[in-house]
Amino acid sequence: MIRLTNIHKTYYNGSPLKVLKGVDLHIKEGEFVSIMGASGSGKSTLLNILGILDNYDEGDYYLDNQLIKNLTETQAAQYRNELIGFVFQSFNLIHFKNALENVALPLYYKGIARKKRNAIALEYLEKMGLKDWAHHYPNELSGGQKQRVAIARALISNPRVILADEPTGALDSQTSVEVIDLLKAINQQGVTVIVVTHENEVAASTERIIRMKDGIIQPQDIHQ
Amino acid sequence: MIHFQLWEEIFASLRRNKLKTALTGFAVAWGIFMLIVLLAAGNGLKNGMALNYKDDSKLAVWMWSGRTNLAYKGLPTKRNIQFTNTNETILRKDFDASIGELSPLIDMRGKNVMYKNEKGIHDVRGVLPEFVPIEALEMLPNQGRFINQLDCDHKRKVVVVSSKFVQDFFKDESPLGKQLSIDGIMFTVIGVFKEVPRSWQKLVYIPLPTAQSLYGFGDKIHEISFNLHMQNETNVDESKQIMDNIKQRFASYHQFDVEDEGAMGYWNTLESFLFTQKLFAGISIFVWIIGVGTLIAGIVGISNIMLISVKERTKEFGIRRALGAKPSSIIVLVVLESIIITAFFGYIGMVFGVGLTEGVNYVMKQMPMDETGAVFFYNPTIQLDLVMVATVLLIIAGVIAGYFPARKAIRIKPIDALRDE
Repeated sequence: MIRLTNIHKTYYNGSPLKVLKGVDLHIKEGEFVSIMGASGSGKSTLLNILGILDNYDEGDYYLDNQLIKNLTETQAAQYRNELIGFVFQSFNLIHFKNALENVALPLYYKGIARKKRNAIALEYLEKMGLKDWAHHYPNELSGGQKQRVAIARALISNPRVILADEPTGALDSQTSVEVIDLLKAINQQGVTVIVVTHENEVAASTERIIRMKDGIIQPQDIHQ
Repeated sequence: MIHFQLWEEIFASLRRNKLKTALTGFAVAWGIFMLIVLLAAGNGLKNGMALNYKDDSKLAVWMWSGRTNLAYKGLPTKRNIQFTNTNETILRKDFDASIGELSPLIDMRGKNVMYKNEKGIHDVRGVLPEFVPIEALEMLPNQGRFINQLDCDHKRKVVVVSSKFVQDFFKDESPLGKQLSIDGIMFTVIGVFKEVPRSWQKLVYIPLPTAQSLYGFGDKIHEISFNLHMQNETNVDESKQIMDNIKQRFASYHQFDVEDEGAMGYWNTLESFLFTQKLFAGISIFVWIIGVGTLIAGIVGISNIMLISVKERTKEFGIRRALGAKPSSIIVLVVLESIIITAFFGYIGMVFGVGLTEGVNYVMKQMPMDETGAVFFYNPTIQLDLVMVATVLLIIAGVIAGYFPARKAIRIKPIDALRDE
């Protein structure tokens, strides 16, 4: 599903900062993977590259057997819309839209009619146990509810990969467990799930742990 | 359906920023309001001028003699130059091809005019029958006639008075055949001409030869008026050429320097008419520049606000892009928002502008012309096509005001947009 070869990435903010120094990584379809590492190890940068939110300087990135390189922003948007679902630490819900509208938004960019997409969104909210909260705005929801809305939004476009960046970072331990269980359930339906985390408990509940250090992945973690 | 959603997105954004939207909108509304009011005011001036010249013969020329300012061939300055019947003869003989109707004038100011118990001070002008088309005089129907050739040949003591004069002196009586006293000499009223609203002079007309002989002018005349006769009636250069030739001819006849401004003067209506036209075209351009400038200020305001709005929404756009929004959809969102603000508020400004100008026009039409009848402002409204132009201008303005901020919004990488707080 995901194949990275020799990915390099340098940030140029004042003095050049080499963040990724030749990352190799293979992730098969349907895996449930966590990426661990100290802050500054490059794990978030790696996730952004996987999500086509950022570009890389060197190497090759194949997503679903397609080379993701030098894409126009329009192509990138298309891939993100079709293949990837994002779950963020800070939820990234749009504050002036209610839960239902937030969940339905990816379908809007797919060009699906309003009635239909609202029906689908309601279905996904129901799966998350949030049907009664559909017309509430994000500031009326708890952290765990917000993250479940975000997960519903990530799932609604039937992505092949879910990328979760510290999904439990802003949650208490009780809700963290619930969120991880949700991700596990999603994975069991065949979706590849990649979680970036620095929490051992979270990593422990995934099937495979990839450790990053100083911009490279430990050799034993490259393949399953 | 997608479009319905788009409108919803935009109105949600506008609702969230009510004050901002209203303030920017006001700038645009004010801009377009000013543009319309200024253009209408310019039109008012132009229409006023057109009205002033409407009835006049645009080919009329008036010439008068004066005193020399320059020495010429040993002759001293300050010599009086006096037009006489000979000048008329010269014009008719030597400039026959360039001159149409012609009438020398005797102008007498402040004569006492009396009829029974009514008295008044009037100016008396001695003219030839040909004067009618030069001054574009209009005779009232069934109210007699103007001076004719027989009146001149026989130096008849006849007078043509104005409609206003009839009101003042005769009330409901018919003026025709009545005897008027002008400085003690009795004249018979033979006709009535229509008082032009803007005429500032109280005038009565008598035959030129009568004026010359009765008031002791001999063959002297005060002025000569005539209509130019040209193939192309708007050819200013030709009219200037004719006038130069005439002045040259008179200069050699009266022995004065052609360059002498004092010896002889003239008023060339065509020249001044076209000059005035140019002047108003200039005013028109000026008005456009100011109006469009005001509008641009409004548009820059919108663009500025859109820029701030786009900056505030950086994170939102980042989220949208992570969810698969194409750059074009973000641009459309911002540009449409900008167009809606400009078009909506621009339209309000336009309605107020057109309302004000039409209102002023209505009030002006209700008011009677003032005593002098001088019109310098008339029908200060703008044409419908100009309103269309303004509408198109507004939409273009909205696109421009929105496009640059929108482009800025999508230039930033999605990940940087997401990190924005």
